[in-house]
Amino acid sequence: MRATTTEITLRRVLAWLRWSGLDITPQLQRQVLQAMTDALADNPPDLFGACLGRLAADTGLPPRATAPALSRGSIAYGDY
Amino acid sequence: MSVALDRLAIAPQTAHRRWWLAAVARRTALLLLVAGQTALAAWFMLSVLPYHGGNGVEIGMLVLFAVLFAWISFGFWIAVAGFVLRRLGGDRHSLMRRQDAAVLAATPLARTAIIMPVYHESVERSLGGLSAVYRSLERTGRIEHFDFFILSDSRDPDVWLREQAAWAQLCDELGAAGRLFYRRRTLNLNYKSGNVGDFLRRWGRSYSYMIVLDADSLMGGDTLVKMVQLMERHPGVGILQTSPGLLNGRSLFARTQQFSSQLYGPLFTTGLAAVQMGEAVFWGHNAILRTAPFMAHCGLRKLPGWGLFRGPIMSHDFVEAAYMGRAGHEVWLEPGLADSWEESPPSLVDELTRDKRWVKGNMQHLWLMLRSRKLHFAHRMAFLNGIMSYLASPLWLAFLALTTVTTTRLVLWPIDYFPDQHQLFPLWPQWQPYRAVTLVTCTLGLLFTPKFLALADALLTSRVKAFGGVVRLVGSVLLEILISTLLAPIRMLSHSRFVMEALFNVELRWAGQNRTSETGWLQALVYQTPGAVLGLSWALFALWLKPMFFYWSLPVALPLIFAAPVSVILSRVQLGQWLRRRGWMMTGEEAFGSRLLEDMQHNPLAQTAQPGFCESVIHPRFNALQVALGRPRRGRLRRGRLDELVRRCLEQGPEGLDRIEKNLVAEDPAAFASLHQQVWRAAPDSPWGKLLNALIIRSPNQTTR
Repeated sequence: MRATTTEITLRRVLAWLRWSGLDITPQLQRQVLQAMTDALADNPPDLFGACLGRLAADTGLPPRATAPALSRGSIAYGDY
Repeated sequence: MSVALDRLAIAPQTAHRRWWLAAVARRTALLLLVAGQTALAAWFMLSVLPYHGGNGVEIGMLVLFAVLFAWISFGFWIAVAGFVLRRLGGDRHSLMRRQDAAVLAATPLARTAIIMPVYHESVERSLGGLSAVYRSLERTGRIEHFDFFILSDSRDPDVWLREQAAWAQLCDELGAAGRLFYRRRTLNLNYKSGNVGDFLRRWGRSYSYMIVLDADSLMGGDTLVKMVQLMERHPGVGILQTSPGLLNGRSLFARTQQFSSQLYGPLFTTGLAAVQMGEAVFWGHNAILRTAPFMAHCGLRKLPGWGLFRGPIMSHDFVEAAYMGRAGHEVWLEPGLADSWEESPPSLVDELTRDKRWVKGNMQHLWLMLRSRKLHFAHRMAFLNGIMSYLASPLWLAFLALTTVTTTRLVLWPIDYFPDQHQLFPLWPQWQPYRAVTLVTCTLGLLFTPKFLALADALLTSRVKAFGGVVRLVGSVLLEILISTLLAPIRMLSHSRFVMEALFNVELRWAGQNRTSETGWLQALVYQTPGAVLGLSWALFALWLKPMFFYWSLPVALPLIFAAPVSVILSRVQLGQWLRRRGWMMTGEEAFGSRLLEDMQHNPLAQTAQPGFCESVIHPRFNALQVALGRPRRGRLRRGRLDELVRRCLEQGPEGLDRIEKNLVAEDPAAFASLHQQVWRAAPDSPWGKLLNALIIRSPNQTTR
């Protein structure tokens, strides 16, 4: 039997949150189900996006400095 | 440099005068010994030749023999010098012995960058090793003077995305944010020297020194600190090279290499350092360089010649050392700096693949050796030394060919009693087997004596336990001699081919080195069959020609015939580990353990697989990381092109884009974020939908760091 769009989306939302590093606590599960219910009520074209948008999960990463401030210099090329 | 340090530091001119006189004396002695020994051997060879050098072939043989003998003799006397100096407690002219240990330890440090250029290397090994170096330096309590840079030239998105994720993980787990940096060139010009040059242009002025690590380098924190202190105390020194030993070998091949490097290496490097002194060479890694003079004098122009001698310099290190010397700075090899390591290729095939690149780089030095202006004579000789490391192979092959010609003429052709029209008396060809045997014995003596000197050195310095005890040490030396004897003809034939390819400028692919896998039978057969056919044909011809010649050919022909099984067996990890469990071919860190090696083996990256392209598209945190590190495309590449690539990737899956297209998408933050968002909304029966579904089912509980 093929899974419904809602089942697939619910599975993806939970996976997305889990892979974002969040603990899937009972409270978060309730929030997800509520967000899904609310989103379904609006019948949006992008159910996944609508559900995540309602959760407003903070999975942002702290900014990282890949390199220190530049201190430009040049390399001299002498004779062979 | 502080005022106090100015007083401590040794005046460059005084120090230079001292070592320069010693260097002249030592080099003269070495020259006399090598030349004298070679002249004697050549004279002996002349008497062995049937016509005593009376024809062109014999003259050719004599010349080749003299060159090859001189090369062997050079190695022999270097080892003898190393043995003697180690017995005397070290070279009193070396940098390490010029000051008291307490004085050195009290020397303040200066800002130093530790750089690791990488190109398609194993991320877990290279950055895992760097994390071990970081931890070791942290333990010294002096890490505030050092910054770490991963300088990537990787082009494959599966590799550089892994590198970036690994770097972020290391920053988190080591608490290294703000001290460990990552930079990737999108345009990787001029190989590794271009990569380092790019670093210097951006940040070189911020650091007094840079320590260069290879992707498989490991260095102890105490050694790193000591290197900076030595540079601070000796302002005339531009490059200080350590002598890296091999470690962490698992296959029989790698363990054999590391055993010989750790047992024989100290003799050769001590001897070499004693002769080169302040005109040593740079091996490209595990060394510290003074950045200001390096930037001022060591830029490498492209070669302006033809063929091989046109374009970027591939083996940059020797050239940089020579340029540093030309600018008046000293280059020292310091064998006394311990805890400096690298790894051996795991198999013969991998070693030869690496050598193929090195051969081309070293042959390029011919142009520089002959055409560069104002280089020190010692550095020209260093170029020659590097060239001879590989050129000796075709010379040996040519010697064998001429030997075959001579024997064939002697057996099949009528004897020419009057090769010279004006001679009065016939010239009788003479065969003096006893002299020939004596000559061969002496040559073998020169080849193997250094190994037994190293054995004696280990016995006398109580390093025996590190090598598994007396009995196992002696047994391991004999086993190593057997293996190196088997490998010598195989290397000779491959190097000969590489030299020819280099001189005819055949295009080579420059790629990262394999550091893990074993050699399969098919791979070995494909690689070694031409040599095996040649060896078998030669042996059969020798047998048909003259049984004595057949026996003479066997030490070379047999290893060639059995090169494929030898290659496969030596690459076996199981065999290497079996010997290790029995205490054979042991090395110090295997016997006593090594904190550095333990740190590397248990580094944070060892437990987690780093995300490639697909994982970085799918996983939210990996994608967020890569998006944060991306650089928006400016100018030429229009947004429409990126949107089209994202759309095609969505429709056709990851395989819908080639490597360059994946790079374009992954490098652009907006495109990569958009791909991530759309993949999570993809239809279940689309390529990404199926992939996502499979991942969710396979690892529902997987979280990313």
